[in-house]
Amino acid sequence: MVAVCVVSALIGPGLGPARSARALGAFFAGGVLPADEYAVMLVRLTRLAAALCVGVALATAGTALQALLRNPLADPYILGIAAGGGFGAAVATALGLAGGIAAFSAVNVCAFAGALAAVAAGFIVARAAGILSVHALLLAGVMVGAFFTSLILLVLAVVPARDQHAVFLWLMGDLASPDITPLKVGFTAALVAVCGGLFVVLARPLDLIALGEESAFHLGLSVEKFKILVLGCAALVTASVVALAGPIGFVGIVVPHALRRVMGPRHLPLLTAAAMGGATLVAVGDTLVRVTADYLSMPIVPVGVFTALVGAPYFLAILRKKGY
Amino acid sequence: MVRRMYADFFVLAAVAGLVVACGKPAARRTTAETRLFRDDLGREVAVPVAPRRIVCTSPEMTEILFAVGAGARVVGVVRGCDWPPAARDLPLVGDFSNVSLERVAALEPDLVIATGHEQQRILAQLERLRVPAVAFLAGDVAGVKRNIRAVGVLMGEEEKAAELVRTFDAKIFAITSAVEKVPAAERPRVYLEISPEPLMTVAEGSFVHDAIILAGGINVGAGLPRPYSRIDSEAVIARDPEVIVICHGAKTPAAVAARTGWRRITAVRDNRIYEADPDLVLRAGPRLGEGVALLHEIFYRKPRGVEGR
Amino acid sequence: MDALIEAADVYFSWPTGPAVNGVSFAVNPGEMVAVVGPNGAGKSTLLRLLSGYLKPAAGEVRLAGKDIRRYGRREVAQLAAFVPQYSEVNLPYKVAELAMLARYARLGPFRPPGAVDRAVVAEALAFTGVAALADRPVSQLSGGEFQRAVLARALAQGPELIFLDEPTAHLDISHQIQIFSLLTRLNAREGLTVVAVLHDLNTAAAYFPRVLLMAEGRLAADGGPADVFAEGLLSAIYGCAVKTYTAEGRRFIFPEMLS
Repeated sequence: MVAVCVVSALIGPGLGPARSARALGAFFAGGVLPADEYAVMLVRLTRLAAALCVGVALATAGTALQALLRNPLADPYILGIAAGGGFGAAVATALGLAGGIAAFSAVNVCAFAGALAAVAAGFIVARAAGILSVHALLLAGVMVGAFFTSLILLVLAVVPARDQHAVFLWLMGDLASPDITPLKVGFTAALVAVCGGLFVVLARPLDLIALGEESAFHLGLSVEKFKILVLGCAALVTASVVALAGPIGFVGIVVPHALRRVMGPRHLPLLTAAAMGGATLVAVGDTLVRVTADYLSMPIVPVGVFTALVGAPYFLAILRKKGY
Repeated sequence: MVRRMYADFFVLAAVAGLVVACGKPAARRTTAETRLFRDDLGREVAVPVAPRRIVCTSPEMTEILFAVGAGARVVGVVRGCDWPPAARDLPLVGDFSNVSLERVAALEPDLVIATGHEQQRILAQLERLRVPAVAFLAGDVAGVKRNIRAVGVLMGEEEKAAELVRTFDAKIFAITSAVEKVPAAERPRVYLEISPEPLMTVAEGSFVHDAIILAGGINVGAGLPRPYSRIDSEAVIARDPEVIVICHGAKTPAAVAARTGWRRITAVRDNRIYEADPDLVLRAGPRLGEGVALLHEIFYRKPRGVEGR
Repeated sequence: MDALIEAADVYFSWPTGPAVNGVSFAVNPGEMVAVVGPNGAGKSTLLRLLSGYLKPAAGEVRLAGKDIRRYGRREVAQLAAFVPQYSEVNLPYKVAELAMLARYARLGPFRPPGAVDRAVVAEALAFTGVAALADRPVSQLSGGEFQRAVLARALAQGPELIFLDEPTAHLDISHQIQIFSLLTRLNAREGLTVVAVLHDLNTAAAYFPRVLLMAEGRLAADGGPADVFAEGLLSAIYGCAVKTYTAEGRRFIFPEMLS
């Protein structure tokens, strides 16, 4: 994974690989650097950091949700987060909202709020008599997602062309935005670290809940509290990376699933592997975006395209080798 | 029960038939004289010799129509056709990228004028309705002049068109002669942003690129794969423009200057970030001459607080 | 001696109707109790009320003298284990890993397993005869092996009380004997209290010194097999002709053949 990061840091339209290598060294070793090289490196490393955040967040949230929902096809977006976030972003873009909170733009904030609102809606629906039905949550999430998606389409139909493009692009997930500042990434990274750490702490309980709620209960797990905690954590971390860079698909479902075949079902090793795997996948995807843009004269492609193009064959290969 | 189903079915079929019948535009067109016109997409269209009801789906073509004196014959426009002011009162047939076929047909035009960008679909639909539709495209400033002349021919206002082109030429000439005096090495590198999210600029194949060159700038976006391309934040930093032109009104110069890593760009350090009216610069119409003049003025404006370079 | 687990006038209803109507009894440490009755009598529901998974609508369930609701989850898990009828484990945990998960009740999420835990797990695996399968993923086990693995997991919790819900419903006769012999040995050797819901009256009669007979959410009888398995009572409860037969000190129950 470190190799991927280093390679990723060397590729970009601003500096050729050789100069990038020197600049990278100087950046971290504290050497003297021409102003423009420093700036380019700053942008590139911010982007890389954002990619890593997204990867870690989505992969760990996906792993936790797959255990919680006892469904290997679950991914963080199944709760309607992507759709809710998209709606928030669409509304903010359409209304041209300015301002924001701290370092975050209005679009970021609205996307975050929208994503959490979607989860909250699903949660309220799925909770009856103090018990959160995981089954109901799954269904509710899908419905909420569909609802918000149609709202997004409504907004798209109504706004002028330029806003349409902006919203479309957001929906495809985009790490190249100039609005991804080091401050935002730092904030998000802190949140991801906290939630990721929480998941690791909960690794054993995740093992328990994968045996079934009743079994987990009888083995000593406070099932209801646990469900809410995991759900809340997953929602929070997913919403934050969605607010930062839009919904980058595929990472949350494929990484945990593929790695489970390799690493086995115990969640402690699985979560660590998933975090690294997710980060690597997104970093690779983003690097490919830059490679195709510079060396192949292709237009800048949304990173979600490459995460799918790289992730899907890898997943299929694993499926083939290990069987089901 | 089955009888009820049959009854419902017949009612439905009758209503559907009625709708289809009413939907057809009045196909009784007065047999007017037509001639063949070759548009910028290479299509040969039979256009009326003296068109009287024009629907225009492009703001820049609307400007040209009015400028050659055919404004009175325009019966429908799309949202965004706001120049000249008279155009604002015309009935709308939709948006630039979402033209309503029904509304166009309802106005019973004898000619539809569109652009080659993004409007291919409506052209095909209009062809099926047998409404003549021609598309214009301008890849450079010369192309704009050509379009003005072509519209003049279409409308039978060749003289007005020729005069418009003369004025246009004169404006451009004034700028280019001033620019000639500036040695190539002293021309400023320019980054012209047409969209902040995603970052987009212009390259060869876009008349805006041509305008930048005529106005005496060097477009940092040159070499990008498409006439209107996304560009990486890094790339802008690396190409280090001396002047930044914001052509979209969605971000203030301060917001642009605040982007990660942009502090080091020469244009930001020298405080040479300016806003330009997109209607003057991004429309391939008669006001492009003013647009070029505006760009020229911006490129060579003395930076605030910096001694003359 | 304080009862280990007792139900005091417990009521519970499902949305479809009442399931447990005023059941009271107490189980002392070291007892082996079978709960039998017709389908829908409320046996499984009662078991889950006792284990704390369901909360009574009225009445109380007391574990070691204290209302079970006042215990923390892990506390209860250290005292009582539960073996369900069907266990679905679709993830390929190894048998040993599965058993180790049971130590959660004592370790919590943080503490890594220590020598004591490993010893307990090893013993549980050995006792249930699945030690040789320790590294086999559970998805590759046969029905009997799997149920023994689940029992090993329950034992690895180190409980004083174990609940079983029809543990051998889908196992063949040899496995049935295996499981119940294990339970009997545990009960004799360690004083493990066993409360099991069974559908097979003969198994209950063979292995359990105390039988609770339930019908329509109520306790119809509570005593030794000789007393509870009386022809008249069983025929009335089950609504069909039942005959009993005593041989070698054991009670046998079978349906009356209608000619």
